[in-house]
Amino acid sequence: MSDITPGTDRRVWSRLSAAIRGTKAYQHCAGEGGGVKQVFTGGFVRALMGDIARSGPWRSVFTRPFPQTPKEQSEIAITSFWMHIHPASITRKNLKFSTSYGLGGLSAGLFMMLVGTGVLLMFYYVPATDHAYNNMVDLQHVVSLGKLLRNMHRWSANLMVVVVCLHMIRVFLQKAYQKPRQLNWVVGVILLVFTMMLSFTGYLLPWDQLSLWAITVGTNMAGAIPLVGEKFRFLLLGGPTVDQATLIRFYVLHIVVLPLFMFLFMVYHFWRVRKDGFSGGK
Amino acid sequence: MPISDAPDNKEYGLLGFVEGHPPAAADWEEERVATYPHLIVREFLAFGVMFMTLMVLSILFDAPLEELANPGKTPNPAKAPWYFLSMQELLHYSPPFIAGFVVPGLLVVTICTIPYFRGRLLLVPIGFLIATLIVPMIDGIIWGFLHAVVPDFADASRVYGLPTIVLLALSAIGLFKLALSPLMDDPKRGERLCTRLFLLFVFILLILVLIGTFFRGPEWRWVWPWQ
Repeated sequence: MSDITPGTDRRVWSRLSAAIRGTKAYQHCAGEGGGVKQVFTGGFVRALMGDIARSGPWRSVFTRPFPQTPKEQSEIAITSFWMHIHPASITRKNLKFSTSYGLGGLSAGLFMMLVGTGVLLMFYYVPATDHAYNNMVDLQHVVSLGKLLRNMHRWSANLMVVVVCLHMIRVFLQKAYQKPRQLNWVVGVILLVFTMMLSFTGYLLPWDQLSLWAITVGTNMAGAIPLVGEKFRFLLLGGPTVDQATLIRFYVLHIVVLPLFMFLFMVYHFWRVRKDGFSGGK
Repeated sequence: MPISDAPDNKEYGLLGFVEGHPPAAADWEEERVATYPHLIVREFLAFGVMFMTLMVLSILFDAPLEELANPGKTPNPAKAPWYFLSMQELLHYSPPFIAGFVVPGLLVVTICTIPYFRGRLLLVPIGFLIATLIVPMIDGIIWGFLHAVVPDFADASRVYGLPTIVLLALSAIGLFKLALSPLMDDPKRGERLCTRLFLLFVFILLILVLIGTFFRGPEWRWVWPWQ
């Protein structure tokens, strides 16, 4: 390689040490008085933070300085990928908690919680009738924080059904479903149905008496659909009764199919909230 | 300035920030604040509170785990998850075709149609939601009566859910008549009535869930929670 000439390492070192000497943190330590004392007295941390904020890697992630002016704050909302579902500005009235009680955001938050705890549970869970229940017992007694993990997943799921219903009641009472938001109301109903289906499919996975018979009762109702009922039930269960085939079907529905559709409908729901105008609570 | 001449050749961008009202916005006379940081901070706080609440809940209360699933041992009663217990409660009054298919199907479809009925006609879907919950119970009573008088016809009509379907059709017509009647002439009063009826619908659903959860024992008989 042509750039490795004699003395390269010396030049690299001198450039590195010059860079270090150029940092505010170094100058702070080496400044008048110098020494250990300066490190612990005012300003060193701030100088170090300043150095980090000016460094190349940091600026490649955070392309802008911390927003101070209204223009910079608005630009964050418009240009940042993570912020773009928000409008750039919002009325003081909509900022108030009592406008929406945060129920829609809370539903989305609970969904994120469920994805997080659910993925962690997947590291332990085997969807087989001779394993599943033992996995639950292990989670309760052997796995570190396993009980907490399972409890959080379970209570988030129950809470999500409640919060999504409350969100719907709130939207009705504020007449926020009226023109031009009719379609988004329908999307919301679909999301409610998905929430219940996700909760229902998850109900079978612990493979205890509660799961088995709740799913038996639930799918018996599906068998009551005229003409196709029995066939539909067979398709859902993968057999005449709730068994291994049912467990794997419900598992795949619960961890891949339903969350994926749920996510797509959520994205559309949020997009429509923006397009239809965010001025709830008339 | 043509878009291609904009700085950085970007197709869009923020050129400036002007204090004042955005043109043609519905709520232009209201004071606006920047989403960042005002809303973002609140969202993070709300998520934090939710997380802590769940954490405390999960430390205090354990998720239920019964014994290993056993297809040979049917619990009595076998209950669906709590949010389906309203439908299971209706199963007590009417055949599975009604409680498991017609009622949930009609509820979802009717709720979807709510935004498409405006003004006085809003009474129709909301009244129909209540009818969908109550008619199966009336059907149960009618069926009991018919069963005592004409057993053959009663059993056949139960299979096809005839009384429920006829009653639901009648209630839909009745609700249209009611919506067009002088009762709904005053928009304010009509609006208030619809709001109250919707809350009544939620209340009935809640009661059915509570009954199914706490007041139903073996053979789906009534039990008190302390029994």
